[in-house]
Amino acid sequence: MDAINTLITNLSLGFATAFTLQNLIYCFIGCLLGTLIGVLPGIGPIATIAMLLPATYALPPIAALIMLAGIYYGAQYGGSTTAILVNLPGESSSVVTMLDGYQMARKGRAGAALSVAALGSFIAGCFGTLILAAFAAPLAELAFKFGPAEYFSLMVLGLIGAVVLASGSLIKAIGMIILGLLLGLVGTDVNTGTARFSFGIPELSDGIGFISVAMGVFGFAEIITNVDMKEHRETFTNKVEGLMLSWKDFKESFPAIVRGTGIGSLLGILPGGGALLASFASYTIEKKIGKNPQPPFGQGNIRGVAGPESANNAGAQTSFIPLLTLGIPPNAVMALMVGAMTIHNIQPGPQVMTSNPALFWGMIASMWIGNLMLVILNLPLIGMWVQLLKVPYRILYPAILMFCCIGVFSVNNNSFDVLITVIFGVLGIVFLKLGCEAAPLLLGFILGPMMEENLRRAMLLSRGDATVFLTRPLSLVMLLMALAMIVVISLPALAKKREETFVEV
Amino acid sequence: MKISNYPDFFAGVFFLLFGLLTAWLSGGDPKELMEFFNYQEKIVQGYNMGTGARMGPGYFPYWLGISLAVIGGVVLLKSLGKTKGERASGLMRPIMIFGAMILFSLLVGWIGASPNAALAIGTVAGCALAFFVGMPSMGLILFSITVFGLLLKGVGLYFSTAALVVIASAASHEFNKKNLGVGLVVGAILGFIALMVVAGIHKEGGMDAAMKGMGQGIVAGTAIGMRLLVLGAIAFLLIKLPAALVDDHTKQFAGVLAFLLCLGPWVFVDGLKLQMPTWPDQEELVRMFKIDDKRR
Repeated sequence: MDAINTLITNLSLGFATAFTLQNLIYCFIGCLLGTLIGVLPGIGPIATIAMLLPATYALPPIAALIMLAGIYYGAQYGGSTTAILVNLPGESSSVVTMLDGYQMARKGRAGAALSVAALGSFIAGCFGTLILAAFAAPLAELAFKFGPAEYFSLMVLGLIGAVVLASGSLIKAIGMIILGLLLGLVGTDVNTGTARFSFGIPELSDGIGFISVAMGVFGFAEIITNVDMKEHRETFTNKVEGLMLSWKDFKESFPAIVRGTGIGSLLGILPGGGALLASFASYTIEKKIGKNPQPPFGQGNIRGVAGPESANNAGAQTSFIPLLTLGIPPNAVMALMVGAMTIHNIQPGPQVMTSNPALFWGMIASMWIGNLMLVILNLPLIGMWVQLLKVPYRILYPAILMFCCIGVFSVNNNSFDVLITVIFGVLGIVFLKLGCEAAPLLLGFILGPMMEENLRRAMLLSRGDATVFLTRPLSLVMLLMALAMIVVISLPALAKKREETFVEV
Repeated sequence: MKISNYPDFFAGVFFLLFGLLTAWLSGGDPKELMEFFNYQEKIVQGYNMGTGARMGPGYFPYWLGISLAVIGGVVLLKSLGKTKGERASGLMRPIMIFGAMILFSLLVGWIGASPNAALAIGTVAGCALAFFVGMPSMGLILFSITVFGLLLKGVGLYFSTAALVVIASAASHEFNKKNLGVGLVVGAILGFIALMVVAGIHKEGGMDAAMKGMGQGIVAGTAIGMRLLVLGAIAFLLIKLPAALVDDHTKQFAGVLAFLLCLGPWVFVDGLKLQMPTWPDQEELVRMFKIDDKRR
């Protein structure tokens, strides 16, 4: 009873903060801009957030965070709109939505697909926010018991989890993590003041900007690949009508939404989980449940949109939990959020909740408001987004490039950052060609300095005795979990199964 | 032994080389490194490894580099097999461009250019190489970004945006060279007029002041919203109006250009309060074209 009371007190503080007119408007602008950019084909949430970050610079921290959360949800929802209407996934987690969503659109049911995606996202978002609010306090308590050794092991677990649960080659993904960690170390070493790997360039002694990495590898590389593609996409933009769901549709999709929400909330908390894994898992489960679905999956079954979309959003919501309570980003998007928070002088972690409760709970409440706004905003405005999708790419990309460039430049008002971003753009294309996933790189990049710091502290406390990571029980458990994940996934039988799962859907 | 998986093979080589290089830079003897790099203290310095209990700046990167090299080795070995794999086209080209950018920057830096100038020259060289190896659109897009970055401080947002849009637009395979000139002139003029008009409305309307009592959020929200609305209307008009004058592509190009020229200074500098020069800055221009970079 006591816990529930505290929860209600906290949430009411949060809503009191988020429900000021100013913050509501920022939340609204965030959702609007996020959807606007997210709807553009080929631009995922990572590039969207990186691009829109400058819009929050001039704001007070809490308004900025609220707007960022809005941008994030908007970007995700915009991504599913593109997936349904154009058959182009803006991000990996809407690949699954594409399967049935696009088929529904081809059959003239684009409206129903969009509505069910919005409804599912909203229900999942509400539930995810509740989970987040309920789990945040106890987990933060736990986090205060963590020493540097535990933090280090936790980061190892998080990084390993992020690649084990994702698709693609495991060993190459681990390579990308290490590459990211190394890139993150560029700049002045905090303990000794030595400028590492700066090659005499003064700007590099501050480190490489995370915006440059994200924008280059995710933004520019995507744009260049898209421009090279001969434009021939089949869009179903004239047929968006019938947004209201029929009772039959609702009856069919509601259980899928509930299941998707459950799976998503659970998987989102896991290190390395989040939206992608959640939507894959939900789709697989929907396929297994119920005999002879009509129409079959892959040919426009409404459950194939409802389940993954809910799971996706619930996962996105609960993946804030490790970030806000432990300060460890579980996936690349959250890694970007860490960077964004740091710009506003907030170091994510358990201390945020105690030192700045209004900010913490305000942000949680604004997530719920953001989800509500998405429904209110997106269904009536769908016509506008559709118009946007009709604009040819050759007109869009100069505008996108300009947004990106101004964004990169405005971080430090520095031409150097723009040049570095160009180099990362080339690197992004190299990675695409070599089949290396870039998301682990970004995660490693953000975690690099934190990991080194905690390793150093742990080793200093233990006087150079590396067994400290094995003798402290919590740390040992986490390292064993990481090891178990690698071993399990490398078992030949399972490795094959894993490959199949990602190829099949 | 033949290469059965080309992407993996190159990824392995990349990881291996990068790992070894990092390990060497962070763990190597400072003196040897300096000798190798011709005593260019600017370019390289060895880092103290320290001990486990008191790690120096070289410790963590050294072991990361070693691990990366090991992983690279494993990926490399796994990519070898009995059958020769299919070699995807265009696999080597981005790698070459990336390599050229880095190597050229290092080379120019070694010769004696300031590190920033070296990086700029290396980047442009990489863009140029993209043309020669048959990736013109990639070269143009990267070049447009580079130009934007290099010009912005000196010539301001208005002209660098124009450069960005023109160069980047040329990358599209639908781009129509014939009408570039007309589009550019029409777009620039319309964009300039639009910028002046909207800036005028904004200043005289005193919207910000009137809204101040109602909270910062409303002001910012309405200001941005109004800007976007007006800009949208202008873009619509720009795209629809000169239809009689020119063909579709020129018209659209002019519209985009005008829209962005107006959007940049107005929304970003005026609306979002980002610190950015809008118009050419004489001092900065003089500084830009000085060969010897005294600022550093």
